[in-house]
Amino acid sequence: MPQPRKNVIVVDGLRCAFGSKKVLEGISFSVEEGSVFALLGRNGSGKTTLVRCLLGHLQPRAGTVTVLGQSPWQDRAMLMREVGVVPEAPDAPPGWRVKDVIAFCERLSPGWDRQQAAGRLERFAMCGTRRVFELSRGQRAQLQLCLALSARPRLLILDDPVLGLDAVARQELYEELIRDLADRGTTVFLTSHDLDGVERLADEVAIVSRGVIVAQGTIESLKREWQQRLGHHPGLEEIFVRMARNGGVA
Amino acid sequence: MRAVSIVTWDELKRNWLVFPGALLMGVLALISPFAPGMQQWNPETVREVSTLVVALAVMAFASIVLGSAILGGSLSSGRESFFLARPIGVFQLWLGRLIAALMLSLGAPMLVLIPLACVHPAATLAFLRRPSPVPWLLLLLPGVIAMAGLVRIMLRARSAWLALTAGTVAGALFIQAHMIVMPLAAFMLHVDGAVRYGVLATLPLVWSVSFLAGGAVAAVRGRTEARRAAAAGGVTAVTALGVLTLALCGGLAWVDAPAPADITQVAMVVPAPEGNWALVAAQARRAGITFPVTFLLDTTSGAWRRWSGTWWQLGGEAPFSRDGRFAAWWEDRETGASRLSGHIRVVALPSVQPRTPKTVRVVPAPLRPSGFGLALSPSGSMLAAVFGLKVSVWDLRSGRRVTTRTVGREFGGLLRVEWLRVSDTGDVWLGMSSHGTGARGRMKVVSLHLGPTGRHCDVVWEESGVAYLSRRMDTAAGGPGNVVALAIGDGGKAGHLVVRRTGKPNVVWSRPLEGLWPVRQILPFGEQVMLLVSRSVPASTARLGSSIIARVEPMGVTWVRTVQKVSWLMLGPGPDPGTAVVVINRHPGSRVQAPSCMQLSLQTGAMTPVGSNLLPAAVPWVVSPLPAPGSPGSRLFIRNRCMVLRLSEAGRLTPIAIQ
Repeated sequence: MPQPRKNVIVVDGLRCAFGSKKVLEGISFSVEEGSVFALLGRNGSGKTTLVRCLLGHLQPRAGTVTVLGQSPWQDRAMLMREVGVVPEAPDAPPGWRVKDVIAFCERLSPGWDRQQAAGRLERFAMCGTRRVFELSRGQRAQLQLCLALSARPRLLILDDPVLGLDAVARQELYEELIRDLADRGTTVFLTSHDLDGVERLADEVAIVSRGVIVAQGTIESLKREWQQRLGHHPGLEEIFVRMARNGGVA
Repeated sequence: MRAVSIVTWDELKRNWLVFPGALLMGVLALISPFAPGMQQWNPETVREVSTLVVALAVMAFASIVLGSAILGGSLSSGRESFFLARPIGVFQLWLGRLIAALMLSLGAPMLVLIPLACVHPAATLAFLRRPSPVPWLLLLLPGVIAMAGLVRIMLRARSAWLALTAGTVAGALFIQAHMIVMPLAAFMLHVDGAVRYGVLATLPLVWSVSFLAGGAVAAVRGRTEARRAAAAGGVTAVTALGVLTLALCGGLAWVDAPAPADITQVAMVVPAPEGNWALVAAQARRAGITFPVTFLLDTTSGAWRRWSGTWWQLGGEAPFSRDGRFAAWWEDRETGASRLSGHIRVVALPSVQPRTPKTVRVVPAPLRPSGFGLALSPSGSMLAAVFGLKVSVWDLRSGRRVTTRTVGREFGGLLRVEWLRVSDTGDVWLGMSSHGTGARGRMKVVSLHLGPTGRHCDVVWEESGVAYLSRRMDTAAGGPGNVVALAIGDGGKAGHLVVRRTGKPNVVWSRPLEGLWPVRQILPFGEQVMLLVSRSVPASTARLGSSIIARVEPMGVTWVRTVQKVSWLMLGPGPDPGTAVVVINRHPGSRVQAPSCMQLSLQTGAMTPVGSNLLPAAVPWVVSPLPAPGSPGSRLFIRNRCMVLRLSEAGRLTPIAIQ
């Protein structure tokens, strides 16, 4: 009998707000080790806020968030040794050279793989002497992925990493990601609007609407459920649109 | 620590241009004498001043600009998440940036100095060695950097905490200025500013600690959220600043309220002419701050009260009435900083339990009385004070001002009050001299007689070329024949004894002082006046020859005894009736090392040792009338400048008990 896999992320009753504005309300889910979990939602539905809570950038109003068995708010620095992050908007300091960014992260990350980092930069055809602001949107996203993967994380958190990327850049990024998944079996938490990409990568998805998770399960189980309701075989996009538009009401 | 150093190094690397920029500014300061309009000034002075100004400006600019980037930079650009995605603590991140900002803010002004140091190394070294507020600025610098960071976040978040923080900063500035800085400026000329000067050093610490705490909390609690960072940092900084300011003021009040137990060194003890009260001027130490302090002390019970003046004012204000039941002094402490808001406080010194001095009258006196220009009458019923050219008399029983008269107009405002006496009937005797260019060496003794028929100002004696005027005369004891003044005039060759006989003072004794020049001390106590002189020696010789103690009575001088060769000698009323106490030091050039304290019989001239390392308390340092030989005040001694002792009738020296 196969042993149950450990949960890498456990979120229970998470509430988050900015001032009086509630952003997340009673979010609960878990992500198994080695799986790819995709969080889907419209713009402003609270995906990035949830990611910030997972990364310890925001303190939840209520509920608990556990990542790799630790509280992100209290143990963020320790946690980041095992978590790689690709943010929604590439946030490396624009004035820094690529090699300086790499060197900075290398010095701070104990598990840094220098060879992998160099190999990735080579594959992305990125010159180390270029400054970040000189890179294209896609190259910046590639740089962020390179930084996240070169620290050999157990968990990869990707906040809409392909946002604004052209098809080629998107493809390259997914290939790199799939290569890493194949090599090391990293757990991935992903938010994205690219439903095709999600469908290719994710084992499980959750759809968040107005701060509440309205659907959750494997892609296959969601499709089966909606096939019964609609009478035809729906794609992930159709399910997402129906769920997100109606606030979770089918 | 490694993570902190990585961040620091990274910040230094990114801001390296600050250093060559500062060097360039130093070069510009160096060539500033060639700038248009600068030729009229001394080039070296222009270089020094320009370099100093540029260095300070660079320090201020660097600290504010770099400080504002500590938190605000990444938060404003939304790039803080890049750093927070690395395995480094938020506090470490903030600390690393702070250290880098500090190094840049300190290093840049140093580089500004380098061009000047290359051209004028000696001048730069001398410039750096000069006393300056640099240590104070260095303590303040972390606070400025942290404050800049916090303010930028607040501006970015448009946080209401900005207004509250600004309000608290203004409040703290007001309180600190009102309680510490402004009084310090006012007290600076007087020794009582020493406490505030000591506390002043903690002011930059208060600011730095407050804003460092605010900055750290903003970083740790706010992380990527500017509004939250502004609120958390604002609350912390405001609270810390408020609490520390109040604590500082409370601490200052505590330090500034020493007890006799805090005395570390006794400077002077002035016993009342009668009774057991004495004024103890000393150095006190609290919280590591040493400052002068003066107490009224009952030498029998140990009861005490702080005397608000400073010890050097003792020379100017006779604190006791003749009967030792009252003391008076001018003070302005209750009204804070302004020196134009003082008063004369008169306290009763009880001789029975409870022996706590009580204020009996507070006389408004905005200005400090002129030096030696405050006196109580023998019974403490009248008070006289000189303010500039005016002498005022108050009846302390009614609190009414009896009169105010202008005196000494002919001195052109450059007069000095030598002594002041007031009788219980309000009769005032005033000795004045002038050392102004127009009236050099003039002296005047004035009687301000307040008879039933009116008031008049009576000039009784005046002479040019006065070399010395005794300040020690007790004129108001009543009865005919009391000594008013002994003046040594005519270039020190003749003496004049002014005696009050039948209500009108006149010169009753005048004779050449052949062989008695220079006069060292003139000392009246009890019924006698003692004149301490030495044989004529060249004025340029510091060491005296054989010293002579002479007893001067109203109509003549009687030699008591020739003392052996000494380098220094001091005289006071002896602990027993008919005796004087003599302190002799035989070691040239050292006034107080191992002085011999002896009791001298005025009848036989026999001397007996009292003790070693002792100085009598009752010596003529001040205007106040000295106690008579054998009185309680004549039995007080100071040992090793740190202990006040009383000589019992059995001849035992015991420390006085302090409550």
